[in-house]
Amino acid sequence: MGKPICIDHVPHFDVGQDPLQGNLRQSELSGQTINFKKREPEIVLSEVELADMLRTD
Amino acid sequence: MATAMATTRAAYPTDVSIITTYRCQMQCKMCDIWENPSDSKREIQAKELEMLPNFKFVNITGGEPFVRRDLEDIVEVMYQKSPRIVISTSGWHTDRIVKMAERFPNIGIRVSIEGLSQKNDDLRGRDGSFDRAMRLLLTLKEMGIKDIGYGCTVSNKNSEDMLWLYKLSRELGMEFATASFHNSYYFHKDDNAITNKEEVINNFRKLMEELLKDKSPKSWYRAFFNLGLINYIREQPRMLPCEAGTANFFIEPYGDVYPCNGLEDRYWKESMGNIRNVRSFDELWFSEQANKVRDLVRTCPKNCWMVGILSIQQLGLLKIKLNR
Repeated sequence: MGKPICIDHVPHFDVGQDPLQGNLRQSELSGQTINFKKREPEIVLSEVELADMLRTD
Repeated sequence: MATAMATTRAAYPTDVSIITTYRCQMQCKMCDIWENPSDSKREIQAKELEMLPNFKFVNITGGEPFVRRDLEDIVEVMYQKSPRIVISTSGWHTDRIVKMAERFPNIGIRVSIEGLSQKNDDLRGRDGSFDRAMRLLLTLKEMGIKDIGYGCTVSNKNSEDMLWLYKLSRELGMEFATASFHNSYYFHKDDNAITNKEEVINNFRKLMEELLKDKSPKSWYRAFFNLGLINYIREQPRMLPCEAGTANFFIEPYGDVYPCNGLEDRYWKESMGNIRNVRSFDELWFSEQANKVRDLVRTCPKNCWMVGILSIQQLGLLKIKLNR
């Protein structure tokens, strides 16, 4: 209490987690660049449905 | 280690998030769910949720859950299973939310607010959404609803407003939660990345300082949570193990059970099972597939910082290390 907070060094404590968890390692996973594939929407709402969603009553 | 753990029968979960729909009337800049709605005719029904076990906590979310006209039926079923239900909402449908609170006065309501009025309306893509959210929260407070608050998803554009929102929450006597924006199948986004890291981290540090001045241990925990967000922005490994798929899980609108809503196809995305394909929840929860997904969680590379849980053993270990 009363001490300025230090965020420069966030200690890492081994509390049983697998060392691979939460450790971004894209290149290790595939050895190549990972591309995001945008999916096509399965459903397209009609104007009536959109208007209904905006109704507040 | 992972295989050995998987052979042990999993415990029952304590928390569930029910994604009632992917439909949403907002058009948020950090989330494209509104462009990828679910089919309302195929969304899970209240009756289908009767197979779920009891929980300590139930979160009902979307999309926007209040676009469903049968939301009260879902809440009614889930109150038979849990003493606490919190609905995450944009706060757009004022009348429906007030009606829900009249029927279930113990309900929790958390409204997403991304900044003060201009910033919020810009990020949420609907003019007047800040005003609606505030009107709703003040109405609920006037009604005597206790479990109310709002949360801010911090991105490149709103970290300064986060501090004002915190101050506002103190004045209003409401809960205030933070999160950092991220990518996921759920948001249909892959370009949510904090690029002005130092500015955002500095604002999180200011928030932590404010939280640590508070007398409530809950605020101290929130300060620790925000330290985790700083750690996340710096792309460091998680500070605590993730227990998604063990202590908590998500059900998506068509009945699939996922350990969390932060999954991405580019890393991995696998369902634990579908509640529509099993006779009982146990059949799904203790299945080989569910164990396989728990193994994937144990080595999940994503360092997202949404849930962190310490078991008694882990807590003891942490205490020993801190005391050194």
